[in-house]
Amino acid sequence: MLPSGMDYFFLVPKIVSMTKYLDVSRDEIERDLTGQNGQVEYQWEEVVEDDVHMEHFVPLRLNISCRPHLIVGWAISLKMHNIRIDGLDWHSSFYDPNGEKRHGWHRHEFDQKQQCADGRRLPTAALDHTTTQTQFLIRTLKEMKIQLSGVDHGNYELFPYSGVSNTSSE
Amino acid sequence: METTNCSHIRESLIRRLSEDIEVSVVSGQCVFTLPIQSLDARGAEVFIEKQLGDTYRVHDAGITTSHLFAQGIHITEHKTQMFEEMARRLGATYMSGVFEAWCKESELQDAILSVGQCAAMATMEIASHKPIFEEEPVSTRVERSLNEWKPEYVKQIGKRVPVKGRKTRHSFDFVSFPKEPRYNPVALQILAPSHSSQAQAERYGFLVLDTEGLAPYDTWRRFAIITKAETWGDKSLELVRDLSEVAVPLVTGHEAEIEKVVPRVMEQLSTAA
Repeated sequence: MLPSGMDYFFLVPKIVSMTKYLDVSRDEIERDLTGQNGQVEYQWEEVVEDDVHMEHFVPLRLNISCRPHLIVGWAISLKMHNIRIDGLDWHSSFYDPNGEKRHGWHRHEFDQKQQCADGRRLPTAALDHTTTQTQFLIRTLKEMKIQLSGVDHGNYELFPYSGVSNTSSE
Repeated sequence: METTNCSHIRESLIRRLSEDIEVSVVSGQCVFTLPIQSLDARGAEVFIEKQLGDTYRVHDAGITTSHLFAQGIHITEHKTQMFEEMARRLGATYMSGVFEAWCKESELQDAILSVGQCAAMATMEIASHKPIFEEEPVSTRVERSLNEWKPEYVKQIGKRVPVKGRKTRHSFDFVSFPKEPRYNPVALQILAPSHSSQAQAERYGFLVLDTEGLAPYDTWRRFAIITKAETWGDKSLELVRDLSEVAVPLVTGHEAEIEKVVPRVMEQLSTAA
């Protein structure tokens, strides 16, 4: 029997470089962001093959924060074991891994030694001139190789389950 | 220590603080990066937005909250109250995820330091943030149970088996294919509540209805495993039950039951007339 609480950090380079699939449409994310005060988290399992071709079902989470303030306050991250393993956000200034001072949007790179992507920041031009939430989602998800569902199942808010019939005249 | 030495240290400290304060302009607002380090290794960022007259809005643009969330730290109601109280004590406010202070020009320095201090102190929780190694995923347990169950009459157990419906493509998590036609193929779907159990149930419903009556799927028996069943609404559970030959709700903490349930149900559905 496999042990519970498996540590999948050794798979991070593979996870970051591979295309991942989240079964949610972009429209759904945008609706969720509107309905959940600009912060959403999605959880799914990705099948990842290790070096000896053994498949692992790795639990991943995607956190998106697009609160309605300045775009530079937005952030996106891919998490595993509740730790950021990839992501993009903005700082007015930061130091890249070579110790050079940089500015603006950057990508968080996973550090195997630290077992997180919080400290290593690589400048990126992917988000330059981003002005809308849709652009932010398209560009960041492309950078992070996260594919979304092309099928939008609509707005469930129209028919919320509340224990009360939809035909209620209340 | 001599007073002259103290003064010298003070002067060099002022010089250092001055050098480390950076200023840039973003969306027409001044952004000050202060030499107050947050626990995620960055200087506190403070935005200054001029309002009408002599009034200024000094804020962190929600960056602190946003970055905490990105690192897996959720701002619960308790943390919100703590941030509100911390901000109040430091002369600012915390509202809708933003540390801010409104002030006159003469009070700008205090407001900047106050918001900067809030932004840095709010990252305190990063120090205690540790990885969580989740329990073995349900799908892994199911897969292992299926492989252990696999009887002689099963030719193959497919994983993530694509199916083509009338309108679109779908997939079942696992499908067992028998060698002989007197046994039934069984399609197993794991349904996690994700962000909405109703949405999950309706998606499953779409899969079932989109493939209903289509060969070869019309001979497949459907087996749904519903995870975190305690979070599902009655209507969602009812929908999944109606659309499956067998639907097994699994309450959190009882995932180990999979290893007993899966072989029993697979055998039952495979051999059913």
